Amino acid sequence: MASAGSGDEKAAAAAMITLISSDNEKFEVTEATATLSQTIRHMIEDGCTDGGVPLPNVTSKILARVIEYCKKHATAAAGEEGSSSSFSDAAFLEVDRAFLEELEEFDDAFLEVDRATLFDLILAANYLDIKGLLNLTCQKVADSVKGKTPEQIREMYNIVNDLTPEEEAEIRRETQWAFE
Amino acid sequence: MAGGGEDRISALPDDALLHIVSFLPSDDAVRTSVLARRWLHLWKSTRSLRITGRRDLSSGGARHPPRWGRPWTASTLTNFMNHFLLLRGGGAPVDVCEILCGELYGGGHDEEAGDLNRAAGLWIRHALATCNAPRAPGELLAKVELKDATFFSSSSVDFSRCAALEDLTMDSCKIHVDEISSPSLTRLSIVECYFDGGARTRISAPRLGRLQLSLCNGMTPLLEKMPMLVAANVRLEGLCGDSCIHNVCKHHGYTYSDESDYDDDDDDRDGCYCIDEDGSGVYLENVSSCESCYGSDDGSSVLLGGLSSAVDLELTSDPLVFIFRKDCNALIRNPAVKTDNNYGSKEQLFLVPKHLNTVYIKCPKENELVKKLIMTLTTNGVCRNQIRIEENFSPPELSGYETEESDRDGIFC
Repeated sequence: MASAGSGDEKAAAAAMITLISSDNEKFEVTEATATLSQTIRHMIEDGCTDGGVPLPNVTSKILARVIEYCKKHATAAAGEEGSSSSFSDAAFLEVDRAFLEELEEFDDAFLEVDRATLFDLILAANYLDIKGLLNLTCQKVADSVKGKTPEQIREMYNIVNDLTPEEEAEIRRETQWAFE
Repeated sequence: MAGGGEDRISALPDDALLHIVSFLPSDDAVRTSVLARRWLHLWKSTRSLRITGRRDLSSGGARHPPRWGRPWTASTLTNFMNHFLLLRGGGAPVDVCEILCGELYGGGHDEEAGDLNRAAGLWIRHALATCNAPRAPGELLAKVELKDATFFSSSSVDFSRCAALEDLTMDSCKIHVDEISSPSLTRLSIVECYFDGGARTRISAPRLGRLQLSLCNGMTPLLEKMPMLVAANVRLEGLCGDSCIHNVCKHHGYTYSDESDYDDDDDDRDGCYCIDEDGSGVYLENVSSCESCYGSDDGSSVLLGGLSSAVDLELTSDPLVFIFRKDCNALIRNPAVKTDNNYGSKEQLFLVPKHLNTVYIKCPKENELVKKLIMTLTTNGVCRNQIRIEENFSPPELSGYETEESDRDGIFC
């Protein structure tokens, strides 16, 4: 598990936010990391983060992963801002490219989780409103469904078919144009 | 299979489930309606239009694994799109439009293909018309990606109805139109497209800030004024239709000329001096002899006029492509831009932008062209110590020279 609790040394000056998981574990993160979540950003703007932000829907195991994602991507966002002011050399393009590649590799590795964790991450990303993480995780599920027959998808995700055979036949008739 | 027997996907909140369905190709999205009651109408609310190829089982690569279903034919695709657009939520906006159908199978009927082409124009217009939804500030930019699309039209592709459109990517498209215009566009990327019309396609995007134009075949499009342009990357390759059939068309006369450098005392000023591959020179007496260069154009600038506001500009050109040379000649109207060296103004390879800070030159070896370039620059107020030359540069794909100019990064040749 990522040691998300340890604060950044260099961030001594930066404001720190304490996030509290459903199982009461505390995570201290920089404001830059925390505000990748629109939900937390709004809380900070409303000034209600003193004493920590309780996240009753997110377990410590998932929160640690979410923070790992946000830390990496907050660095990326900071890097992007920095690069526009300090780019004075053609080499900046190479650096940029290398960094984007690194980020992509991070995302790929980040997604190597079991299915239960993947759905927990989707729920957390949805609740915390972290657009990048929601896109990443939903895309992963979509990719697994892409090009499969309805029967294959049902089996893969244990989807209970609550349509009667007549109803299903009717829907198939109505959407025949998508099955051709 | 991981996840036990739980139906985790159906337990997701509506927003998240819709988000997943929105990432699916549109035909897959529609087919989810038979999974269970929860899924019945989800596809109608997706804010995306995604058509991707259904490949044969045998031809699926790692990146495009084979998909269920028979490959698209002109008629199944037309039928699908007509149903999809009419039956999805009325007026539901489209944020993502991705048409990537690849090669159509089983067609062979020109009539069907013609119908498809006409219909495709209509779908795109429909998608654009619905992308005009009001947005909270800071929300995602309206973005349109077109891949493998063909635009047959004698008039224009007009995006003015789509006031939210800011980011347009055209990849591997065939473009047969006179004009592409959008008053709102800030980013435009045209890659591997084929400009196939009889005349140059004009690109009118007055708010454009970033432009990428590369690897295009056919006639290089003409850029109208882009006063807000910040950065542009233009790459012209040898496949481009604007290359000189006589190999390197080294210079041409137009009206300002002093042919003495070229051992040519002919007074005909409409000539074109070309160099063959073996290095021997050919002087073509009038422009029509080198029609591929200057024949039918009115002499106005094609690219550089539109790019002149950019402070970060990267221009790469195969030596055979004459567009930049032609543009420079078109822009340097005033023969008073005389220099004191052997290379007269007709030899001026670039307009030297006022805001040029640093110049990088990358070339295989210091050659004649680079010497001339340095001369041009130094006589136009650029100090020699602002010019950095990287020799033994081997371009990744090009056999020619690479040129870039920018107030930060500079020229390449």
